[in-house]
Amino acid sequence: MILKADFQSLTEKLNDWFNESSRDAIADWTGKDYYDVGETDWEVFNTLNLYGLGRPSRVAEGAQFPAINSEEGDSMSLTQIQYADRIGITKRLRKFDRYDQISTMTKSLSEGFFDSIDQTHADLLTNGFTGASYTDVFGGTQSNLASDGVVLFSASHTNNLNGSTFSNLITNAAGTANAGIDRDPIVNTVSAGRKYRDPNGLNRPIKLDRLLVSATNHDLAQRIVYSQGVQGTPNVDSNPLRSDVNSLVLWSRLDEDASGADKSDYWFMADSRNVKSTLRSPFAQRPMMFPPEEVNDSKTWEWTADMFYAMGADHPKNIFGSTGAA
Amino acid sequence: MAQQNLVKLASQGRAYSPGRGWTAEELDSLIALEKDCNLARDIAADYIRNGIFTKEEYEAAQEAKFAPKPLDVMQAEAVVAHAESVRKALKLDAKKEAEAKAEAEKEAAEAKAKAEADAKAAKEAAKK
Repeated sequence: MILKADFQSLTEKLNDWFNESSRDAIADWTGKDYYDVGETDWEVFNTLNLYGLGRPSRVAEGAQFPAINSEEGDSMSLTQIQYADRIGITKRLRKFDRYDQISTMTKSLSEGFFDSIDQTHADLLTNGFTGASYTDVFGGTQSNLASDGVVLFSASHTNNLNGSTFSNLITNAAGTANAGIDRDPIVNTVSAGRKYRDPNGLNRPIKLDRLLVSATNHDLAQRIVYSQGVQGTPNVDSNPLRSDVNSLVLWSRLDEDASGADKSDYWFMADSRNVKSTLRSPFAQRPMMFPPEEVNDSKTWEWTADMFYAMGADHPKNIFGSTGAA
Repeated sequence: MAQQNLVKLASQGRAYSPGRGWTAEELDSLIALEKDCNLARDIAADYIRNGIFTKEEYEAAQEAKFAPKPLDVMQAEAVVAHAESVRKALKLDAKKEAEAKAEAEKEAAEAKAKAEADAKAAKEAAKK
């Protein structure tokens, strides 16, 4: 029987299970590689993205230097939201030493947090093509607009300097947006990224080296990217995509969003060096478990866990997407 | 929760209003109008907000010497319209409340009179 005197050792065991399970869940958390999941002390996290507006100019002797100022770019606010869960170690579980059930509940608690976070990260991408918001995995309303006020994946992203626009929709060589996954739109999008010009007209290459696909499309994507020759053709031409796309990522949470809608045809290309300046998800507190401060009147010892984080899309140039519908 | 700086974006013609961004259709029309009619974005945005979406509609508006209402004027009008609707609703509520109160008072008086009559009748019956 687990007695009150065993409380400390039980707490240590629960912490071990929670941390062990968290470690495994974090390893499978694909979103952390594409979202900025750094820690913050700010309740409202303000971003600023100048997307290349500042650059030096030629100056005459003694003339005033040009200045970059924070008014040039776009900004947004991410307000921390708390998410919580708890497990109850009942008198029955303690009386009969049900460590087996206690450990399962603890692991489930931790996995629930990380699986949910990863789904919210995938859902912002798969719900980023129409409308202005969607319902996330927690049942809350999540904005899918980028900091320019336009839906995350759009052919008409605006800037704070002039009337020029840019598209982060994956497009094939014929100019059709939202192309299905194939070699042609990958090649075309890699090229479009490299040719990207900032609002001042200066080339600021976006190196789209990551390909994110659903489990459904993973095999096809592997053959397109990793075939020695051009996939699906009998010729012996080499397949340079193997060097352009240095990582092909299977993200099974892209297959279906939290509402159960089929998104398996959706696919994305990201600039691995800069995508975290587009996809923002600051944590004020990572998932953490806390022991009960006192035993309540049901004799159940309740361990609580909670986290604080927010999520949103800043200036969207570092990730391109396609619904695969065209 | 992510919140874009819609106040700033709306003032630049990059959002419909401080409350919402452009819909995809509105944004497409805005960019087309801006290019086709050689307008600054904030001016083109005023036309879109006033329901003028195409080059043809813009030209017709020019001929008719139609001046689109700027965002701040539209917002001020919306505030006044909202205040008016609230005032009307409150007035209607007050009227309904007064009627309901009068009805309740009438019912209470009738019930009191009936109770007094019943008591009187019972008293007289007991005397007999």
